[in-house]
Formats: sequence, structure tokens, C-alpha cells
Amino acid sequence: MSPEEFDEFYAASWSRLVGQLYVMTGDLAEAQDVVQEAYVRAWKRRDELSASGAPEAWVRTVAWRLAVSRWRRARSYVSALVRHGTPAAQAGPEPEHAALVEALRKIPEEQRRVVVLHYLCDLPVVEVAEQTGAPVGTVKVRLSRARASLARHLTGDLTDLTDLKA
Amino acid sequence: MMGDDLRHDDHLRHDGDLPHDGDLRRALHRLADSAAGPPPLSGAGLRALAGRRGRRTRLAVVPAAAVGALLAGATAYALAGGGHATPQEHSAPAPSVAPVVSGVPQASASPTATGAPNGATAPATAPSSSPVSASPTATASSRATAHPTSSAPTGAAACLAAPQGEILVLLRTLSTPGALLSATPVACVQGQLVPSGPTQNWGLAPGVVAPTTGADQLFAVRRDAAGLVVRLDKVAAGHV
Repeated sequence: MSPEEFDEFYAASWSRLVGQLYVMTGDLAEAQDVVQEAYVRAWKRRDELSASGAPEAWVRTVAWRLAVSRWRRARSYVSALVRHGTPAAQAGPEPEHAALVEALRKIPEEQRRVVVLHYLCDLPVVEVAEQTGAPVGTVKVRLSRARASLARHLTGDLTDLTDLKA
Repeated sequence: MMGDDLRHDDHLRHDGDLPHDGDLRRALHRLADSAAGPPPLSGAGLRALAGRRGRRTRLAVVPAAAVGALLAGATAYALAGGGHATPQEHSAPAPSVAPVVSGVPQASASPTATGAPNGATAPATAPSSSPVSASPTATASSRATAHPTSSAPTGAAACLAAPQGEILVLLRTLSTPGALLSATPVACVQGQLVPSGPTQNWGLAPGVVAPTTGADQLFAVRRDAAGLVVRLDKVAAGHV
């Protein structure tokens, strides 16, 4: 992949991937950070990226793994927050998205991932299974449980969200 | 409404043909769209960032590789007799103390190598048996860390370590108009100064005072990341 080709790919896919990672992580700054890091790695391993045949999926997978790794490292920090209280409030999502973000945060990581890949990336279950390395049946169960969990956590009607203007 | 749809759970239902997931799908797309924006870095900026990361990684590897290369080189020289006649052969038994190797290799990799990857210049030390200047005006000798062992009954040599981040070199020539110096890195092997790498040509950083002494003298040299000599201190007057 030449620098020009990489730049084109980067410019075309950045927003899409940040949006997907935002839904996965529930944190826009974190999403931008891991996606940028994933692109840095993509450029350093551009041969591998080209060979993958699906560069956007490659970057998304790397970004997802980075996010998961950070969550795990941050567990001790979260424990400290629980013990000592949270710092000053940071900017959160817009009010119309807050309920959905909050609901997504309450479901397990892997369920969030399959929700994003299936509903946001519009991948069929078979491809979701390929990208996550999980059996098709497992993906179906995760999707089903995610829907059930989101229904429990969402107090309002999602159509209210979809009807809102940006 | 959507809540009811979500509760309408069916584990066996397949993927894209879920009739009741439209609202969830649309809500997720709107959430993702809310994160849209231009990337903070241009493509060129991102590639430059990747390049800087790569250089930092390589620099972190250089010190360990340089020390390893120096130890291997010093051992090879010692086993081969160093290629130099040793005065101690006539006046004292063979040294029983292993050569003291100290000093920290500089981070900037020089284009020529002593066997280390990336062209790292190995650190070097000067032996106490060499005529190290005791003059209080010799700045490097006053900063250098000495390991005196000359009182040992074996008559083993002590080496003078270059200050941290510097290497010892023999200054061969100095070209003032071009601010270039030609120097040979040296190492202390069994009390002897021996070349530890080929002669190299280095530029002097602006403001660095060039020595007025003659060539073939020992200097402690510090170089910056660009490879320019930023410090040049005379250590001893002696030939290898």
C-alpha cells in the first residue's frame, strides 16, 4: 500500500471507524485514541494490512483489542474511583444518546462488539463470527442476549432517539 | 415499543432479516454518526507519527545491543591478544583482572558500527596504564569516573570510564573550516586502549569549541541525536 493509497484509506474510513468504536466503548475520546493508534500500527504493518484484503476490518479489530486492553489495565483505576470517588464530571454524550450509551455500557464487551458489527457495520452473522473468532451459534446468542439486555436497560423508546434530529 | 421488540427474543433467529431491529439499528447509526469528524492528523502526520514511534523503539534497543557488541568485541580482542604488544608482558605477570567496561552508549546511532545493529557506537573506557592527564584543566578527566585498582598486587590495570552518554575516541584529524573531526572509537581491553571501531567523520555542533591540541589524543565525546558532536573533552595524551 503506497502512502497515497494509505492516506486515501485513512481519510475515507476514519469517521466510520471512530463511530463504531464510540458505540463499542461509549467514550468518544477513547474511541478516537484507539482508532488513531490502530492506524499508526496499520501504517507500520501495511504489508500485513494489504494482505488482509479487508483493511478497514483489520484496523477495527486492532482498535477493539486496544480498547479492551485499556479497559483491563484500567480496572485498578476504576477500583480506586469506587473507593475514593470520581473526579470532576467530564463531557458526556448528547442527551438524546445518553440512554443508549448507558445501556450499551451495561452489556458485556463481546455483546457490544457483535452488536456493532452486526447492526452498525451491517455484517451478517457469519462474518461477525469470522471477525470475532467465535462460532456462529455463539454470535447469535450474544446478539440475542444483547438485545434483551438493551431492552431491559432502555427505559424509553428507541424510536424517540431515531426521530431526534442530529 | 422498541423495548417490546427487544424483549421478543429468539436465539435461533438469523441475522439480517430481523424485522424488529430497525429501530435499534437506526439508533446505533445515529449514535455513531454523532462521533463523525475529521481525523486530528493528516495522513502524512499519521505516517510521521508512526515513523517517530519506530525510531524511538530502535533507540531503546541500541544501548543493550551496543553493550553486547562491545563485550563480544572486547572478548575477541582479548583472546586475539588485542593485536598489540602489551608492555606488561615485560614488567608484570599477565593481568588477572578482567577489563573494566563501563560507560553508557549514546543514544544516537553512528553510521558505522562495531558489530552492533543499527550502527551503534560502543562505549569505551581508557586504561589507567595510559598516561591519563592529571592536569586540573583536563575537563574530561575531572568528570570521568575512575576505578583505581593500580594498588592491586597483580598489577592489573584500571580503566577510566567515560562520563555517562559519552564515548572515548582518538582524535585523528580536525578540519576547522568544515567543522569535521575524524575519530576512532577506542575501548579498554586488558589495560590497553584498542580501537573498537573504524575511524569515523563527525560534524561539530554549532558553538562547540574545537581543541587546539594536536591529533591522536584521547577525548571523551558526546553526540546529539543528529550525530553532531556537542561536547569534546580531552582525557589523556597518549597513543594507541
